Amino acid sequence: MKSSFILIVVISLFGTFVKAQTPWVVPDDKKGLLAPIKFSDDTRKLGLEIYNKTCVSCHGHPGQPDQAKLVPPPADPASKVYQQNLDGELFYKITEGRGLMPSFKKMLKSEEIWNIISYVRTFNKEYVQKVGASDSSSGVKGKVTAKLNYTVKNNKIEVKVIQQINKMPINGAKLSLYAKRNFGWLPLDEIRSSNSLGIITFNYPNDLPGDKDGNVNVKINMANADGTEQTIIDTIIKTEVKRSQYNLLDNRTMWNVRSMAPIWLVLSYCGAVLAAWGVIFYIIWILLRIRKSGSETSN
Amino acid sequence: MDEKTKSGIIHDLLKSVKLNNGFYLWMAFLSVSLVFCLTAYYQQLTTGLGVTGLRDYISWGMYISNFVFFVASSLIGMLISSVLGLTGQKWITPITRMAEIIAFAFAAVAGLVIVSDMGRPERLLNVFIHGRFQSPILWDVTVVTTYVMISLLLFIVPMVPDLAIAYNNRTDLPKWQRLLYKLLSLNWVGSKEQKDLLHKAIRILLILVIPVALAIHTVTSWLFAVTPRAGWNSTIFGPYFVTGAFVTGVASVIIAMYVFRKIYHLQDYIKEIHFDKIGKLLVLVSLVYLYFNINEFLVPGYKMPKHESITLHSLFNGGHAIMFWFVQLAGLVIPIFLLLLKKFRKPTPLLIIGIFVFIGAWLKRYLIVVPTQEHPFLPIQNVPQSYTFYQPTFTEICITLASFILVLIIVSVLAKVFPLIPIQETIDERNNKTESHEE
Repeated sequence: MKSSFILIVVISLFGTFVKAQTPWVVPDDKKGLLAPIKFSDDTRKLGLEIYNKTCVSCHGHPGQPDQAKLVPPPADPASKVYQQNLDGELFYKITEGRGLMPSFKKMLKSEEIWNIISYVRTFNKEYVQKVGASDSSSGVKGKVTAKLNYTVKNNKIEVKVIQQINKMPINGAKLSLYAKRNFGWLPLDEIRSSNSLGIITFNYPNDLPGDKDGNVNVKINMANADGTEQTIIDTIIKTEVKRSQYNLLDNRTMWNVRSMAPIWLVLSYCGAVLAAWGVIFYIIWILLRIRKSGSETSN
Repeated sequence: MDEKTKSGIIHDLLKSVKLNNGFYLWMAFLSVSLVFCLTAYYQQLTTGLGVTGLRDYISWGMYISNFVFFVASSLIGMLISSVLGLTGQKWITPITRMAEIIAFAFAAVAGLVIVSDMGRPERLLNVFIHGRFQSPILWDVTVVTTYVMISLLLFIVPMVPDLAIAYNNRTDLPKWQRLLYKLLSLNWVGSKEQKDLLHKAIRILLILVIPVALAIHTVTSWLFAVTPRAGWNSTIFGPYFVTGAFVTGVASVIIAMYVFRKIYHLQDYIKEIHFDKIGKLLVLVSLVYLYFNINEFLVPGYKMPKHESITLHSLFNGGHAIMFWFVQLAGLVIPIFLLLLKKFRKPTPLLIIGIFVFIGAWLKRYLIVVPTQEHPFLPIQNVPQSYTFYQPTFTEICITLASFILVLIIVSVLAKVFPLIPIQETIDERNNKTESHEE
């Protein structure tokens, strides 16, 4: 059982490597994608910040040979091979990921990915940006409003998406559900499409702890045409699973402050100190009696 | 020689109390050395603990080793006066006061040694103001203070009759010294009531000092043993420290016996038989300590648990091996074998063995404190090379020397100003002996 599991893991890893070594082909319809924004010093600056947070650990500092030692090696963004990618290709690769390169579509907004691209392009002197058509990032045209409805009884979250302008329900919008945890956003359920009434029903887990009142911060993301997501709802729902707030410093313990020392310890310490010093003072009292007795005798 | 008269004994034993040129010279030498060493402390006080070899990982070094050693040495007062005294050992009479002086001096300076390990000594009072009952540090501070007080009482109280004798017999002494005798002799006239009270006080003190002395060194061991670190995580650390303390203490007393016997010409009182007896005592306590050492190292060495093996190997065959085997062999095993032979229990060979045991005991404390800290559970990362090992600096050595000089000053002054050998007890004992002969 165990060995077959290992075998599966080895084979899939091997498969990954083999796959990773083949050229990374970007679908033709994605290649030509252009940034909806004009790259500027601002976008480059923002891009650098994101790069240093999410990319540098593997890709290193562009132009320096400090990329992570992985197989296949992460490309140096300053390299010629890297810069030969079109903007659309870079966007696709960052969004989708492959093998050890993670997909960033759930972690970064499309705008943030474009900022990274604008930053890495500073290492290509010959690069001239072509700006794409104005905001085409959304798969759904126009502004969207959504309404979330959570029912405790059957643990369902129902979302209705409609066009803001004409209040018409949106059919086929791809939505995903997340809950906020300490480490970030946890995906719940799967990506679901809205029906003709613009309604999507997510299954909400019945064991996900909220805070001490059962409150959970959830968000609904809608997929854009370029593969990224935009948040359409970010709200707090009240669930029945409350986190028991147990503070280790509430009781008298060894690791607590002095005023919360265990009673037996306080009594032992004070008892021992009082006993020892009580005897010492008793001895001093005896000495005083010796002195007194001596002065009486000599008188 | 035993037939000395009472006045003869008094004359002999009070001969040393007058301050002479030799004493002044010795004190001048000690004072100059102390001042020199204290400049090092001034440097540490103004610059900070950076002048020592102590760093983030090894933050307890020579000072704490020295503290443990001093606390250990101070336990001898309890062993000689209480344990042996209460069990009726008569041979200890001439060395009880010496043992108490050593105990008091080491215990009192031990407190100061701890202060020398503090970067901000002016915050010492915070230990009392904010001390946690849960912390062995508070217990340690408390018990050291208590033990210093009891040692002082155990030094002064049995001396009360002697001080009256000294006051009455040495009218030639300077005014301050006679005043001191008068004040501390508590109007002693030797009435039955006074004798009964004094006997009671001494008896209570001798019993009280046993648990307190055990506590002082057990708590010192708990400073280490309450942490789960390799080399400190031991259930036998309490008795291990206490028995080790007896070895150190007996060695200190042997050295003191030899030195004072020579310079005060006490050959009639501290005889070869006393050296023979204390030599045997050293064998006994060393054997017990050896037994604990075997338990402390052989059992983990047999198991070699992974997290402890690095520390153990550094002691057995690594960087600390030379010191470790010197301590075990020259400071413990060889002395035991040699002292089994009568000819090595003569004063001079015993002194040499005592010095080896003494040095071994000091190094032993160093081996308990330092190697463990060189091997923390989490890897040492991103620090300068000098953080990974401990090397005491000149400043540190000077400050440690200063603590020894301070002990020497206290011992020298107390042993000079007061009669070193109990007079009244010596007279009583010899009377008893004569009486029993007559019967």
